[in-house]
Amino acid sequence: MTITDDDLILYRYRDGLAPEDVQRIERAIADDPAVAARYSALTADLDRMRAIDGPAPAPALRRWRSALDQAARPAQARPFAMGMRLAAVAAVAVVAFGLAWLGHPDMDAVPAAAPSVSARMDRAVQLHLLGLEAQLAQASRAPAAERGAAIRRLVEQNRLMTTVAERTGAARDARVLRAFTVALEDLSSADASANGALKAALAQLDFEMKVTQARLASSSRTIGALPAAL
Amino acid sequence: MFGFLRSRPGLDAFHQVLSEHGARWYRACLRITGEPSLAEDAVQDALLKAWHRRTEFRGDAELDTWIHRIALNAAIDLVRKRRGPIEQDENPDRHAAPAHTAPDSQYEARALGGHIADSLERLTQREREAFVLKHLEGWSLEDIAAHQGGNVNNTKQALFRAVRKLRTDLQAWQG
Repeated sequence: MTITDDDLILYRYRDGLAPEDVQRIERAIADDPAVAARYSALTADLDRMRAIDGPAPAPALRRWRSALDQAARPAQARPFAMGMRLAAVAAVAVVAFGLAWLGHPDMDAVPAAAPSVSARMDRAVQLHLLGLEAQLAQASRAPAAERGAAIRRLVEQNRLMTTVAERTGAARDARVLRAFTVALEDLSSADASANGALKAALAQLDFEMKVTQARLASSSRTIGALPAAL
Repeated sequence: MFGFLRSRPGLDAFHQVLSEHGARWYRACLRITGEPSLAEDAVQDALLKAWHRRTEFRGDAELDTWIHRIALNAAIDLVRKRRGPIEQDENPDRHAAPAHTAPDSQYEARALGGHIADSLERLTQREREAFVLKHLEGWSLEDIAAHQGGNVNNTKQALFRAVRKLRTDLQAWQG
């Protein structure tokens, strides 16, 4: 029976062959010089294929050590984790404020001079986007292993804010927020670990946020007093 | 009796094993990913996963071996995320001829390593995984098939194609 190169490959690894096939190949190598020569050439080539070598890049080693040190300091409130928590708390507070405000029994009884519902919603959305931008910037600096979870938290925050906008009838704000949800979902599901892709997506998201903020700021419902409102 | 103490390596142990074996993990991941940035991410992910799961480390294997295995899995996962399901890059016939000719200088050995790395990059993802995990990492065909989500026969065929292509390239370099 013919011994193929594929048989010899499996024989070399002693894997994927039935015991009787192993014995058959052993006999062929012992008895047939041509088969023995083919096997010898194969093993020589395979041995040469181990020649891949080279050091790990020094910046990567530093980055790995730093990530390890950072992971080993959970009790010391790592800057990234603490920053993300604070930003998340702030974002949730904005949403909670919006929900409470929407559910207030006197909502319709505000004085005529007070900002309209849509102006208030614009303001809340702008606050939300500012928070989102800051958290995204932090997420981009996070270790790859934490990045995906951080971005998924932002998706949830954004969905919550979208619900608020929809309930106020602020269709334009809801549309803007839904678009960001899609972009954030792409970011979290596509490849949160690929630095290049993440940075490119972040840059695009950052640009869109700035356009949205500028449009909101320049709309007829002026929100120039935003910092004071904070 | 005090086996549980060995089962929880501390930060110093992680740093030591990183210093001694980090380059090897990186090279192993690089062979899988073909991209330095993905290989770096894979090692980092593996280190962090291992650190967070260090209480699961039983001490029945070396810490280096444990992290090495996690790093390879991370590399495979990152490639999948980047390039989609493995079937999408399957084109067994795709394998351009090597771009370099055989070196005849004292740097031959180092050059050979570079050529083999280039040649590995030209394999399909399935072929590269099958070859690297079998030949360089010593995994069983069954384990590789399980990771690739296929059967052992598919893994064998991918391994055969990989070896054939790499040997063809080797012969081309050797003139």
